[in-house]
Amino acid sequence: MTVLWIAIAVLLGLAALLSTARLMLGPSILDRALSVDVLVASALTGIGAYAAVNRDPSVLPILLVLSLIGFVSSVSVSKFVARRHLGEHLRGSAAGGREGPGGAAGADGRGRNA
Amino acid sequence: MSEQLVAVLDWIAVLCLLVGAALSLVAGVGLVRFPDLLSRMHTAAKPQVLGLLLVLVGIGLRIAPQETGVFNTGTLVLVGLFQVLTVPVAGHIASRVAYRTGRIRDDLLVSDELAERIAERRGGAPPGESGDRQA
Amino acid sequence: MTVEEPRRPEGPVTGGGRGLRAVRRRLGKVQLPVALGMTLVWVVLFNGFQWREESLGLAVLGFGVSVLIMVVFPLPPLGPGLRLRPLSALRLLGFVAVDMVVASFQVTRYVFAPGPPVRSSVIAVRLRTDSDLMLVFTSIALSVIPGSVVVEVEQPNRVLYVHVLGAIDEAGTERARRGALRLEERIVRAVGTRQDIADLEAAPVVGKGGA
Repeated sequence: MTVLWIAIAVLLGLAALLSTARLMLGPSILDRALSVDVLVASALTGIGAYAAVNRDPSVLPILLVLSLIGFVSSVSVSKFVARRHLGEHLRGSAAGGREGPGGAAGADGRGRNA
Repeated sequence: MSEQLVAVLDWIAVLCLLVGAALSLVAGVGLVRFPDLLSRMHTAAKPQVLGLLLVLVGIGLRIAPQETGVFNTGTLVLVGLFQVLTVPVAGHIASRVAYRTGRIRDDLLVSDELAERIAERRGGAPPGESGDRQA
Repeated sequence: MTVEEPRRPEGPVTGGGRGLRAVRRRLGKVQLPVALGMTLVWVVLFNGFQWREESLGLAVLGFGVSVLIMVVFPLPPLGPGLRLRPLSALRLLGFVAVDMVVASFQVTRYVFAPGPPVRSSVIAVRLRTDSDLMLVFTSIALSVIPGSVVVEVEQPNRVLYVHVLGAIDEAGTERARRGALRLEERIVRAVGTRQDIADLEAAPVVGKGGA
């Protein structure tokens, strides 16, 4: 039994290491957000394994909070990337240098086009 | 609850946790090995959800024999529910932004019907309109 | 936040009537089924089903919080709604669970396969029903099942663009498209309204869903 618990810990540690590698390598910020997501999932699994080993239900609320925070973080990073990319796009293409209020509306328009 | 039943439940729980941890590792390996963002999205979202669900089942089986009440089961169900509902949404938003901002490697896509559709809408313009369509 | 927000009057003299009307309009946007669902989550969160003296108060408080949330952050109404058919829903859950396990193994195989990196395709799937809820359920199920991620949704034509891992030829994309359509059919039969099922059955059997 104990061997199996140690095996679980080793597997999770390796997973966390690999996603940290992607976190450092990741060519774009979206890759990094994704690897943080996987890191959070490994943490969730680890905390769950702790709760299961010690039969200790008092850490379960942490699972609840972490599972929601992971969602918020990756969505907000994606929104940020979309807006910044669009800003550069507008600045690059439009001669007048139109930015600011055009950002969100432009995103919508592009969405309908695509 | 009888001793034997608890022992059997424990073994099932350990198996669930083991498979869940292994799926986490698969997600990690996929994250490093896959070549572009969209493929990585697959490994991040999928084994992760199944792995976490298995881990939740494992926790439930370990804790259920104790006199702890409904609280744990309810929390576990909620964690699973939130995870199943939010991970696909986050994955969709991230991959959509990735596609829009051109972080797609065309050489890895065999056929791309969305690009064809966009080109059709634009009136025959090539699908990659901006210069930053690379890795 | 909605557009009406800035029009809320500041002055105490005219504020009474108009503020009350605004609150009443907001209250009209509260959808009872959604509020009941949120109350259920609240009660589960605070362990209300283990019967205690304060369980009833917990439920009432939860309902109050859900109504408050819906007044402060009003949402557009949920189209035609849904009808739960327990038997089909159970079958759908089983189907999705089996698919998740099978497809997880598939992704695992791609992850550990030696050689050049895996290639994939973006395919278009035209759904047959017109309901927003069905669209949402189908895309969530498609994304939970490994091997496919919804990249883009074309709303008025209800076309989903799905990135399919490892679909490298015509047969692979065709199989993925049929799988998505079968998933939609199962979902509609489990929770769709009668109108949705009629739409599903009226639609011709399409081979190529896109464009």
